[in-house]
Amino acid sequence: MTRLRIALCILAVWAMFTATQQSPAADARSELQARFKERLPELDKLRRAGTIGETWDGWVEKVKADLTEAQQKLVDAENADRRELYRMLAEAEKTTPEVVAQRNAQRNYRNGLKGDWFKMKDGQWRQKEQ
Amino acid sequence: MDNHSSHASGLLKLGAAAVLTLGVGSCRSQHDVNVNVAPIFMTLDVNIRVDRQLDEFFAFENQYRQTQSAPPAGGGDVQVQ
Repeated sequence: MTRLRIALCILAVWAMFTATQQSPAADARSELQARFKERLPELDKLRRAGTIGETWDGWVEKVKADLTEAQQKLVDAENADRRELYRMLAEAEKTTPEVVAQRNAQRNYRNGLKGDWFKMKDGQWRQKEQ
Repeated sequence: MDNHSSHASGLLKLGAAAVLTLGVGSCRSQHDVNVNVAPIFMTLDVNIRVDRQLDEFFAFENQYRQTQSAPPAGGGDVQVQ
């Protein structure tokens, strides 16, 4: 009876431990999400200012004027994390990173505000009108 | 004379039958239409699943933007083609 209690206690402790642990993939996803979240306010400011825009194939780019060093770093970090996200989701959904990237471009356009800049497939930048 | 006439008439009938047979045979047409539907559904399915994943992952964007004053402008899909 005592052995059974000990076994049950060990099982309960193990269950609690495993329940609080995340898989490495989930960890990587959470860290990635946290980085996107952290950059969002600054990127949104640059979007509203027309400094950066979204491309048809899922990346963020400068629109006209050159970026400052800090802004360029921010854009590079965003695109590097997007690359990782597109790869991760493509692997999970058995598709290509390019497909995920283009779906994200569509999502960004839908969620974009009036006046935000979008680079079309022909290479032209256009402002969202409504 | 009659024999000759009936022979010609027989040949005529035979010829007409041959023309009719060939005519009907040549009018027969076959249309093979291969419609491959499965990949279209598969593509849609992948797009829907990817969209769902992206919406889930970037849910924090909506929460953040709701705290800002301006609402999204809306609008349809961007024309990428």
